[in-house]
Parts: sequence; C-alpha cells; structure tokens
Amino acid sequence: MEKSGAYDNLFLSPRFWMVLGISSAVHLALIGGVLLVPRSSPAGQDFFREKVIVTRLVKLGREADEKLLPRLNRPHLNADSETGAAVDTGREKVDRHQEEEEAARQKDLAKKIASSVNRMKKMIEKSSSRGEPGTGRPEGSPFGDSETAREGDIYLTTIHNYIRNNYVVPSILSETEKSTLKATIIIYLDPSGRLIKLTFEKRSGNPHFDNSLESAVKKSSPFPPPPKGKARLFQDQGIGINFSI
Amino acid sequence: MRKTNIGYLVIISFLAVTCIAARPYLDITGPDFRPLPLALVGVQEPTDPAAAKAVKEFNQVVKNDLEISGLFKLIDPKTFLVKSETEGMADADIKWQQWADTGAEALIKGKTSAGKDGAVVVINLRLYEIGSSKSVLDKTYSIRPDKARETAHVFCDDVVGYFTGQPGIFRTRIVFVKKQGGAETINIIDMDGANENVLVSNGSINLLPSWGQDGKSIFYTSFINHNPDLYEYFFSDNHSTVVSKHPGLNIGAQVSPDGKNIAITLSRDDNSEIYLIDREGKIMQRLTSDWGIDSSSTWSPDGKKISFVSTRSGNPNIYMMNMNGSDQVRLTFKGNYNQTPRWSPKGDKIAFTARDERNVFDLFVLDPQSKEVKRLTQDQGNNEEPSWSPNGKYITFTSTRGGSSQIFIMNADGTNQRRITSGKGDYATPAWGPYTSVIR
Repeated sequence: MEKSGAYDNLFLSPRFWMVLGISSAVHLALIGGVLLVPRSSPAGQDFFREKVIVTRLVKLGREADEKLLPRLNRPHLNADSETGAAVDTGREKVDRHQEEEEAARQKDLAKKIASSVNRMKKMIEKSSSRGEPGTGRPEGSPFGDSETAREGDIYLTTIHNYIRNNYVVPSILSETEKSTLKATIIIYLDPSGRLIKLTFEKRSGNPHFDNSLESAVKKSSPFPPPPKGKARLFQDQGIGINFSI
Repeated sequence: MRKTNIGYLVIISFLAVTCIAARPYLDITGPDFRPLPLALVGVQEPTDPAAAKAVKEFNQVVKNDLEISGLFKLIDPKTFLVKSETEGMADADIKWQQWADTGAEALIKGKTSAGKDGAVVVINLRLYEIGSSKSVLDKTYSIRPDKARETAHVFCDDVVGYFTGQPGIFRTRIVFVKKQGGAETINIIDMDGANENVLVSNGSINLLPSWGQDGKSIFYTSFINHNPDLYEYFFSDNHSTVVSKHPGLNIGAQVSPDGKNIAITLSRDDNSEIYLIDREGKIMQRLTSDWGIDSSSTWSPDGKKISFVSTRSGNPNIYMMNMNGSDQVRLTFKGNYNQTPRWSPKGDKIAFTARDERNVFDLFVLDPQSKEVKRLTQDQGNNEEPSWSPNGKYITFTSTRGGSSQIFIMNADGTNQRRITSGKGDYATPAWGPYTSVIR
C-alpha cells in the first residue's frame, strides 16, 4: 500500500517512462523503416503497394448435367472461308439474340448500380452541408468509412476491366515465356480519365509482349473520370498495372 | 518540456504516415492471344523462266505456311505504305515508321540473285522486328530444281523457330487411309496437304496406320491374307513385312517412345484385349483382362503409361494404366461414346473423339491428372480421329463438314481450323509423323 501510494502521480512512475520509452523507440524504428526502405526494392514495393481486390459480377446459370460434354459458347470458326461460311446457322442467331438480351440486362444492372452510388453521394454531400458528422474522408484515408472505400474499388475495377478487354498478346510467345513473362506499367490519368502518360516500371524483356501491353492501355483510354478524391492521386502517383499471362 | 516532446513525436508520426500516398496496383492476367501482324513482301520474280517459276512457288508456300501456323496475321499487301522495290534490305534502308503505321510488327523481305552450281536461283531473306527496328534473321538459300517448296518450308521452320524457340513442323508429314472405289490404301501427304502419295495399295482393306518412333516405317493392319494382320512398311525400300498375325484382330498398333515395344489390340482369346508385343511380333505381356472390349492404345510420351478405350463400364470410355497393365483407371465420365485417345507430346493432355447428346462426334482434350474435359470442335459436321503434331501445337483430324470425310489441321486449342485435302473419296485416321519424318 505504501509503495503504490508513492506513485499516485502516473508521470512520476519509472515504469510508465520505461514503457513509453520502449513504445516510442519501436514507433520511431517503424517510421524510420517506412521512410528509409527504398520504394523500388521488393520489400518496399510490397509495403507501399495498395493491393486492390477486383470484384466482378458473374451470372450463375442453371447447373449443367454432369453427364453432358462441355459446349463452346461460340464455335471456333474455320480459317477456311469456304467452309467457314457454313457455320452461320440458326443456332448462331439464337446465340446472338441471347447475347443481346444479356447485354441489355447488364446495361440495366450497371444503371441501377450507378444510380445507387449517386444517391449515396448526394446523401453524403447533403449531410456534410448540414454540418452533421462526416461519413469519412473523401480521399478514402484509412480512417474513411466503407462507402468511400467501396467507391475507390469500383473505379479500379472499372480500370481493370477496361484494360483486360484490350489485353491481347501475340500467339508467337513460347510456352516458357507464357509462364514467365511479367511487366509493370504505371498509368497517369487526368481528372477526365484521359491517359496523360504511361511508363514501364518493369519491362518483360520481350518487345512483342511489352508492345501489346502498351497498346492495351492506349486502346483503353479514355477511362471514366476518377472519383474526385482520387483524381489527384491518380494524376500524380498514377495507377500501377502488373501484367502477367 | 517532456510533454512538448511527446506532442511533437505524435505529430511527426501522424504526418509521416499520412504523407505516404499509396499508389494502387492492379493485377491483370489471362490475356487473349492474337496472331502477330506480319508484312510479307513477296520475293520479286526474276526474268529467267525457271528461276521465276521457283520463286513463284516459294512465295506461295511461304505465305501458306505462315497462315497455317496460326501465329501470324498476314497484312494485305494492298495496304502497304512502302513500295518494296524502292526499299533496300539493310536495316538503315527500312522505313520502320511506315511499316509500323501499316500495322506490322514484323516484316519479311527477300531478294534474288543468279543460281550457281545447279541451283536455279539464290534467295536471300530477312525477318525484321518493327518494334526494335532491326533484322533478326538473315537466311540465304540456293534453290535446286523442284526444291522450291521444301526450301520454303525450311525458311518458315526457321521463322517459327526464331519466335517460339521450338522447331517448326512444316516439313513433317501425315499418313492416313484413303477410301476410294472399294479400295482402302495407306497414303501420305505433307502437313500442308501437298504431295499426296500412295504407300500401300494391295487391292485389299488396309487400316489404322501409325508411325514407327524413328519416322522410318509405318505400322498398319491389312486384310490381304484374309485376317487383319499387322504389317510394317519401310520407306527405305518401299516394302512391307508382317509383324503380328495372331488369329483374329491385330489392330491399333502403337510403338512405344523408346521403339522397343508395340501396344496392340489382339482378339486371339476371343475378346479384344491390349497386349505388348516386341518388334518381331512376339507377345511380351497381356495388359488388360476384362469382359469389355479394350482397344485404341496410346503411349504417354515418357513411355510409362498407356491410355486406351474400354467398354467395361458399358459405353466406350477412355482409361489409363501403367505400361505393365497395373492401376487401370477410368478418365472420362461424360459423353456416351468416347474413343480414339491420343496422348500429347508434352504429356499434359489426351485428345479424343466423343459423341455428344446430339449424336454428333466432336474432338475434345482431357487432362489425365484432373480429368477435366475441354471441347475443341462444335457444330461443323462430325470431327474425329485426332493426332498431334510433334511439337504439340497442332492437331490433325478428319471432318465431314464439307460432305465427304477430309483431313483438317487446327491449333491445339481448336482455333485456326483449315482443310488440307480436297481429293475425291474419304480420308480416315490421319497420323502425324515425328520430326524425323521430315521431307528429305
């Protein structure tokens, strides 16, 4: 009792200062490490990279009969135009009709998602203008809430899908190259979503592969305008794209 | 004072963390593949008639080979922005930007000079990469009379070899059965469908040709002695000898990768079973023993396993066993009639024919490990009897899409399907020869 009474004032306790000292040293070491690890080193890259989880909507159709052989969505057309012409059957027309219906459904779904996001934005702006407690930092800081974070991911998923749709590489690549070729491109976008420039952070070493990546990005521009809070980041820091096969 | 220091520390920590603006990184994988846009400038024909004929044939074969390869998209010469006759062959002479503006990523040009020492013409060819603005292949060929076709194949093998690091297959050949007018002969063609020749014509029915592992002989079954016996045809003397003549079937012979054994279907014990025999026809081992029909064996490229067809479960299905007959496992569970398995040269796939729910035969590939099945052909007649090219990049097969059964080739993923035969009669059971079967 007597001993504990001697340290009634916490700041006079040697144990407090010891714990604080250790805590400060650990924090300093961490911060120092963060600032000193070169961003170009593998460890630095892993630390600094914001990993993006790309999500996609998939259509769950009726389960196929286990006994049935798989079918191609679209038969491989002949190189031979003479026999290739015979491929355009009624079945193809049915497929095209189904594809059009599916495209219309996808468009409708996209509209609904966009409208929902806009409604959410308006609610946030409205509550901010009333001086009510904010719902997170618009630039999506680690302290922001899930709504703003989701908006950022939606945009990056869009970028992913735009480029993926144009990601076409030459057939001449050997089997070994197909399993080893990797390259990283940084794309810089202006606030309207237009590609300002692209740079190779890491080239694959195969000019045909690298050219096709550059072409995929250029064909994908312009992208949709970035979210307001991210526009500066994507213009100054860019977005890294890791390509592999 | 101490409190002030702690305050600074907290502020610095906060600023340091917030100043690290993280650039996001996306991972993009699974590209589509497209043929490389290639500008092929035909070699200008010289004035000498013999040389002009050779160069004309050379140009035609090169164009056809590059299209067959499925690796290149030949750019329409009408869209060329460069007049080839005004452009030299040296790197400094090439108008790189104009070729790039044409959409080319590679360029092939050639020039001729007078032939010497029996050659009708000498052709110098170069392959250029537009992206790196340099020539990457420089070849000169002295073309002898009637050798323009072969020389063009050699050049195209070199071009494909440069890009893929693997030997090309333009000089390999395919054997098959030709059914015409009641006769069934064993014939051979170049892989582009040229030079069809009869190897075995004996007035009888001849079936299921397959290659000796060294490309010097062909195994086939013939009814010439009124029993389906196994024969071996030798290219060296254009002569056949009997290998196996057990009572009943002696069919579907496939020589092992080391050339020592032959897997064959025999019905000497009333039921069709798979046996191993040696090159002289002596039975080494019976591999299957069940009530169903076992047939159509194919070796894994390492020679350790054999895939085959069995009706032991009711319908024909693809099975796999060790080469000594142990560990027999069923691989296919879809489709109601699975047959003609052919193991890929890499060993990772087995191509086979299957009849689907619409009673149409089509080609599929099977992963022998995962048993996953992928379709290669669809909605284009009956497609049957696959056989792999020696580099595993192509498959030859028969198709009835044009009416009669003709031979086709396609990329191993089912793309770039093209017919290579157009003769009368029906073509059946093509077997693609090894690299050692090349035209000489």
